[in-house]
Amino acid sequence: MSAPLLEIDDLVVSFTTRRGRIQAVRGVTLQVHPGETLGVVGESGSGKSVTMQAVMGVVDSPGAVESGDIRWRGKSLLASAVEAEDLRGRDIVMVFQDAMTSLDPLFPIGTQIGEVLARHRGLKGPAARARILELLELVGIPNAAARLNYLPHQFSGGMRQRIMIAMALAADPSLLVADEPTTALDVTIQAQIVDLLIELRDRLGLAIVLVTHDLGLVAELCDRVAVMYAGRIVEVADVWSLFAAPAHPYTAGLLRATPAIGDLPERLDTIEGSPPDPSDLPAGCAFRLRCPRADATCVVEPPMSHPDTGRSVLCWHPEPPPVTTRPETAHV
Amino acid sequence: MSSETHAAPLIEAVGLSVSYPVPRAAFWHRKPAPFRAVEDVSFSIGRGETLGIVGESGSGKSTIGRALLGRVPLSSGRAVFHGRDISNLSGGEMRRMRRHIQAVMQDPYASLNPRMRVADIIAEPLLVHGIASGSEAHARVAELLDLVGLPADAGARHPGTFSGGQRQRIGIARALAMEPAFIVADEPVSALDVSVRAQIVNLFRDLQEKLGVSYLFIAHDLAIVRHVSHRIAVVYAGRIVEMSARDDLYATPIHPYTRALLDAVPVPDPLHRRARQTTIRGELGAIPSAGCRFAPRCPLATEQCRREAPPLVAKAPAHLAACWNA
Repeated sequence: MSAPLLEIDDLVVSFTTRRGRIQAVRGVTLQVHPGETLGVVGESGSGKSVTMQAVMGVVDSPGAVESGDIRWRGKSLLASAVEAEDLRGRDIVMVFQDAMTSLDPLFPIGTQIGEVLARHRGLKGPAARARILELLELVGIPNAAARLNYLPHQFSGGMRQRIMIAMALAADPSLLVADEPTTALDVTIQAQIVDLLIELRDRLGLAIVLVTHDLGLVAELCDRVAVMYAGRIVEVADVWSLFAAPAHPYTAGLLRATPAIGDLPERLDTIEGSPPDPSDLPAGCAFRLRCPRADATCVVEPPMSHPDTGRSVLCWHPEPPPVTTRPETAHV
Repeated sequence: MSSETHAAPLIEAVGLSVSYPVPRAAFWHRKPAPFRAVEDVSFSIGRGETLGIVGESGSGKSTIGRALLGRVPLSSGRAVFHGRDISNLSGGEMRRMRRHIQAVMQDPYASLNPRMRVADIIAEPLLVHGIASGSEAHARVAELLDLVGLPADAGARHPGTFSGGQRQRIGIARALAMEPAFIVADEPVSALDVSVRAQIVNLFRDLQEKLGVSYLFIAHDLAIVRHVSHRIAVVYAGRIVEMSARDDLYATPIHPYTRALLDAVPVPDPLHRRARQTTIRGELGAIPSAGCRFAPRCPLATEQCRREAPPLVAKAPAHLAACWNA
């Protein structure tokens, strides 16, 4: 496998609150390789978004990276703020659930994309205009030339999402981080944006990190999956192994609680209880109070296992070993 | 979920229409036509039955629920409960009707007063309607907490100390306090985490089995609604485009919009990645002044569709669809 684009190494992100310091990310280690689509899955409070915010340098105050490292092509993003600033927005870009996080409501969309081109690629004038039109066409904005002067609110939600993606792609990034990119959209529009992401990945050779709570989206888009719970990665596997035979009891529970639309179990399988309060985590494995496989061992924090299969799982009692089924057409 | 017939309807919508006035762009402009949020919607729900209503934002699905709750005025049509027209009740009559028709909303954070203890939140409707007081109300609260799977000591705490799923249980307990016959549940699980969502869906089903309550269960996609509904109505731009028994809808969807909705739900199985057949283009935009409201996005649309709105008719036994070409 080629050298990773992005390496996250034992990252800890904490928030200082009135109730003391709360660790939202508790030692996350993860790599992203060129051209791959990695899903980062978790529920609210799992630390999935905060991890990627740390990569982008946009952790909300009062949060801060406490320890660990983030490297882009081998160079630390935490060591030099100036260099990191330059990489972010050019080589590593992020799109959000709400397009208005990225788009300024007061400026025409053409101007906003033009700014990215000027800053990161030094493009101006007719060359910039040609590139803007090319980008808008790439993301499927019809009649783009006539709409360069439109303000963001003059577009529908799905179109704004496309414009945000066009702006993210303006400087030819190698990695696109997409944080719940379809969650706020209607299902039929979601499907359109998923199709767009797949097309862009295949055409541009883009690596994508998809941050989501939606296992359906992961199954549809991702090559590899990292499952997060209470600030830690509890399982990493290729998408086929993960869905065929989840190793962590939490992953297994999530999958059972997400029936395919064709399945009709009499009762939905559930995971008992609720995700834990990050300021009040149980000792040892954070999942143990909800876990059907937990016993006395689990009071001690489990180690991350690295079996030869390339899967890792953070559990003393993982589910039985996986049977890898991978279709011949699959790409990794 | 059994599919026995739910003979006498408990609640009916008959030609239900709701429109909102649209303000003029400027005072010299002509007054624009009102926005037809819901138009000519008819259905009935039997005792102990769940009708799922599925539609995207702007489809009018929540307005249908609000109309049955008496929270928006109807521009035409009527809502009938136990054979009685409830669409134009006086304030006092409506308050009495509220005993029987309750709501569970999407956002458990917004619908619970953060300063009240949970026991008081649940007891409030009992006291307001003079149904119970003192120790009687106290006992009823304990019973309700148990019914929705909350610990007995939950009553003494404030909503802020509960997780999203537990708050939704509190909201359900309060709705059940009055022993309603009918509950409008507007996206009650959409804001919940995946691991908790299934718990609440199961709770809705268990309560129906125990109490025989009927639901209008509103959802924005066809995934979760399958697990609670006996019948499902798909709405688009304020009209029902398809309605049938649950299994018929999934096995043999008729309307192109229903098919697109089914196709749009991602399948949680990487071995079944499929090229989407029917990704529909565009978004729910301005409603065309004539013809089928889905025509601008429809892959099957013809001249007739743009001219004339298709009626909702039986295309198969008990399977209604509004489409000229399906």
